[in-house]
Amino acid sequence: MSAVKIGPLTLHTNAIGWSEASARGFGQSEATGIEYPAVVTGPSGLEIDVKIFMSDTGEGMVHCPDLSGVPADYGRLAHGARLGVYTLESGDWAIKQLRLLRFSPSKGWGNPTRTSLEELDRLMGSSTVELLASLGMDDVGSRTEVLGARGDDLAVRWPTTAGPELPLACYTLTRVLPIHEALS
Amino acid sequence: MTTAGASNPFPLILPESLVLGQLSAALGSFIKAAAWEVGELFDAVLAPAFGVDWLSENFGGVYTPNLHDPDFVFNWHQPDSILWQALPPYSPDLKNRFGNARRTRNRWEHETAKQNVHSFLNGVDQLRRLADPLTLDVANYGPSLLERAKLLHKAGGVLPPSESEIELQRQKEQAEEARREAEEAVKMANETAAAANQLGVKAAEASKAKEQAVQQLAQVQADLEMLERNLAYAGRASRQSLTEPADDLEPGAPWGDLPLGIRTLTLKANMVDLMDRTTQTLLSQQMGPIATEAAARWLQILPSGGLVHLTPAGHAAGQLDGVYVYLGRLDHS
Repeated sequence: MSAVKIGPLTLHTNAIGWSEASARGFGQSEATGIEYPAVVTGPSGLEIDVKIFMSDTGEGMVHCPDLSGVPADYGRLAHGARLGVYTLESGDWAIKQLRLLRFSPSKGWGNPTRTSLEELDRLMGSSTVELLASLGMDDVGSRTEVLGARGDDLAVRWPTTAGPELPLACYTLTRVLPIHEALS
Repeated sequence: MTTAGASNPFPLILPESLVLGQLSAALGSFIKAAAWEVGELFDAVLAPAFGVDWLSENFGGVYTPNLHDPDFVFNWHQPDSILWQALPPYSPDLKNRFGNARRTRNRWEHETAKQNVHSFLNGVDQLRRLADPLTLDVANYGPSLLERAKLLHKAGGVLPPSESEIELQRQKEQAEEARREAEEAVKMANETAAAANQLGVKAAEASKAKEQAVQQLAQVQADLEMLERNLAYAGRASRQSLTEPADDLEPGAPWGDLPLGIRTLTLKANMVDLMDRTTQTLLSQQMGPIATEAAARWLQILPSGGLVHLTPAGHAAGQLDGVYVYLGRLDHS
């Protein structure tokens, strides 16, 4: 149970725990796994329902599963823009591509593209590394540094004992916050 | 004195503290509800007599006034106005009561920042003095507001939390800070012990320090849990000391005309919890399992969740198919 400040937004989790669930988003098939719900709040009464889902096969995502849990201006979040989460061979969890949503208020749309820690720091107004470290992160940096994989995208790795807040915070930072800032 | 079949869309809002915003919302509910009922009263008598366009034909100019607008309803209506056909016989006293209601409305609409508890009590009285001779249904808002203001005054201005809750909350915040420090100490002790083991020096000393840090964390955690329990008991006692009309309702029953609680929460189906819309905190963070247990019960009535009004005694109402229903009490007895 926690309340994590991410710029002007706050990510809330409670003690409900992981529960069995199913979700679409992996091809067209429905996957079974576990999920943990949360809510993001912000200025002017903003409330957005989010979830992390981890499938039995080790692929997962943070997403807004239900359009009714998202204000109209933030509707993009209920149409994709998911953040992929994966179980590594070591048993750790990782985000292999931490990308930033580039949102256009006039189009009401945007897509995630490559970002940097410096850009995320500017967006949030504080240190991304410190935030993620406080939530149990093992490593953040380029895919090469963190995962030994090719590519310049940011990646994050953490032990499963870190709890659901870390990936949920990454989603809040790279999906919800850019829309909030674009609309402000 | 509402016309048959029409229900007043402005339920009474009772203040939960004597701060200006709460008083403004409370008095505003009385003003709007009274204006709405008088507007209905006008229409019920004047539409049959003058036709459905009586308002625009008699009062229309550049703009046609809104039948339920306090700006139209509360005015010094002249003796020859057709509106008196829907009212008790004209008298300068009743005309002045309309005028005083208008002054009250204007003060709280345009000069809210200058208002205070005294002008709130005066405003309630002015509205009551108009509602009584017109035998409006909303005349009962006046005594309810005065009674609540008196109760709040006796309680030092705020209901709840009580003083004991505030003190316990302060202690809880201190304990949470102590827990963070203790967790940090355990982390450092772990790192030191691991390093000492690797180097093979002072391993026993580091291990002892680690053990002490763990014990300290356990003690702080126990203190915090005790404070959380005490806080929950104090909150429950504070809420249960209040008597409200909703005490007699059964969960699922229509809320009816009872005043809605001013504290608004979002009943969250996905988290089985309640989000306090004012403080933007989960109620489970403030109250612990009481909140999640209440949310689970209330979701049986409102499976999709949604907006919930909570009274100071902990009674909750939410809308089901456009009608407010009683969800139950925060503290399940």
